[in-house]
Amino acid sequence: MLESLWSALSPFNLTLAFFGVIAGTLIGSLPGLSATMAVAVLVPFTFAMDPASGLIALGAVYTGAIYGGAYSAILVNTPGTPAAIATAMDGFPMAKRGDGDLAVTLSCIGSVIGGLVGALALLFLAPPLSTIALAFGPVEYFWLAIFGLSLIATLSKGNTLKGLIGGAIGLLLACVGSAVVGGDVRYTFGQVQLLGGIPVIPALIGLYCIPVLINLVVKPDDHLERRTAQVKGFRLLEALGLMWRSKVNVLRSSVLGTAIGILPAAGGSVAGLVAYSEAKRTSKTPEEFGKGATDGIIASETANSATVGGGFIPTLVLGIPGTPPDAIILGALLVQGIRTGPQLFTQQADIVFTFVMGLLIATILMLPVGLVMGRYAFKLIINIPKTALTPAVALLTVIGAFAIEVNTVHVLIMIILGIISWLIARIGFEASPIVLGLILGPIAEAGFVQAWLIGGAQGNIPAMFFTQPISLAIIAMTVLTLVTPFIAERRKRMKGVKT
Amino acid sequence: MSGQGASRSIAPDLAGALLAVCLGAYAIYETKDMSDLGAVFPTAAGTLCILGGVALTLLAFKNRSRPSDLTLERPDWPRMVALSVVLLAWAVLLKPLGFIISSLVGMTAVVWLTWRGAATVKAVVVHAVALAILMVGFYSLMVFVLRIAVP
Repeated sequence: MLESLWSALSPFNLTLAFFGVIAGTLIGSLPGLSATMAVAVLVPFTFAMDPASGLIALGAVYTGAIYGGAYSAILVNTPGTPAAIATAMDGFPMAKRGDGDLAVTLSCIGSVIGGLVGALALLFLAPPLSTIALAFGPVEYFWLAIFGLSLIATLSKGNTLKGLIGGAIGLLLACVGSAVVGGDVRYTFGQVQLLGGIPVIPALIGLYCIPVLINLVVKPDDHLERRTAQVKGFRLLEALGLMWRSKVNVLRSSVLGTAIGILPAAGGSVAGLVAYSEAKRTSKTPEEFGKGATDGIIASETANSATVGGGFIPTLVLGIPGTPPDAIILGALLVQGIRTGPQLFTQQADIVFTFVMGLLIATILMLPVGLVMGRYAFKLIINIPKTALTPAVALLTVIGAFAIEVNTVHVLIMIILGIISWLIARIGFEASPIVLGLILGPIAEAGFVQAWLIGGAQGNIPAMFFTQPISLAIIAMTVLTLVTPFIAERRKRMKGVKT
Repeated sequence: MSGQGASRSIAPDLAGALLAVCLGAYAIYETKDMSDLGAVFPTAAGTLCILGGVALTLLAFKNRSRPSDLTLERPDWPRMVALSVVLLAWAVLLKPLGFIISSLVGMTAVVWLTWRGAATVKAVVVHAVALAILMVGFYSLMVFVLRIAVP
């Protein structure tokens, strides 16, 4: 293992990790240019490198891209990647009140800690942890998605009922196009372009970014408070103090992120949202969440970065990619002649351990890179005149929606959803529950239909859904998540009556 | 207009409820041509919408004496509509006009809609240069780095 560490610390590999993190952070910070795209762009360049160096470069870009998504989430309320959805909920309110620099520093430290925990799990626990991925069948995925949807109750700011309606609208949006199983064509209005469904990234950009753009144009006031831009800097000590006070949250979010990263198809967005919800549920001041709670950012960023190492566990041990970037990296591994599987850690241990060490180093490098880039990103956003910021945001939204599949219809879908999002926000409906429904709908439906068919073939459908131990545990968590906000609301009301 | 502590206007809640019920009803109506399994999720989501809409209506009337937590400002509707038209036109013209021309026109229109002060020659030149730098930067990123085929 020491040899692998020295190999990862070679000047060439260090340079790759350093520039990989910078490139990934830059691409991840631009809405629509996802971690998948960042990794895919780099793959051809890695073919000329030795396998370990190529993997280090890809891992560094991936790590940087997941972190970079936090910048736009915090500074313009638009998650750069789906993994940063929960970051925007408290990051943007912090930036609005002039604490954007602190939010960026917290997200950086959280990402580094989460990334390190995920990478260490990959280093020491990969073979045993990979069995978790195999324990999840369709019915477990169905319940996991339902659990994710139950987070709406926690994520809704103030009005749970409107949050639930928003989630149902998101589910309906997820139904557009060909059905996951069976091929029913649903809600396409005869448009061939809608057969593939509502594209998630353009929808995400539209639902979050277009309302920000409209508000920038229609409101005469500044985008963010300018009072603290020139005074506070990194606010590193303050952030470290907050992280220390939030150590249980950090640990829980890291473990959740790693565990959810192991599950194929779950990914950083689910991890961030679950960790955020748990942080809010266990907080002594849950009412602060959504208004700029530091614990919210810490939970989301720690968890989404932990999914990077977690996602590599099934990719390397089982050959099952957890996320799209993992799938691309798996392809790069195959091109390099590396066969994934449990024997990888013994037969090609030098390559694997050099890669994991490289991932650890890239994660540590994220601290200086992220702090410096974050500080200048915040200063730039806060000092740039609104008349220069709005065309930049408009261009980013159009490019981001267009670039994914080079499709102008996606741009139209993004704009229409964005306008609707702005309109319904005026009557109290938020974007997050809709996005949650849109992302989790297909996972829930595929799991449900497959489990139903398997249960039907076995002659006992209820047993399929309600007797598996993992399913029962997830159902219990779901009930707990749904009931907690109502109990808290009731307690609050009782206290109010007494006083 | 309603604000913190003001008497509650139930219009936003009723509008939300109407939207939810209509959407839910349409979603369920459309399931008539779907297979049984294909209709499960649309029916469930549609039913949730309708039930949520009905509950929202009942709660709106029940709580109308409570102070509202929803602060509605009168928006600048002409600017909002103009921006929506600009963005939609930008998307439609992206292919026929090409990325560079459509984006330059689109961004200029967005700047014009955002502008509230006096348009001095210096300010116009600075913004024109900023737009040009933005365009060159993003075009280079798309074409030369990410190798995306832009129109």
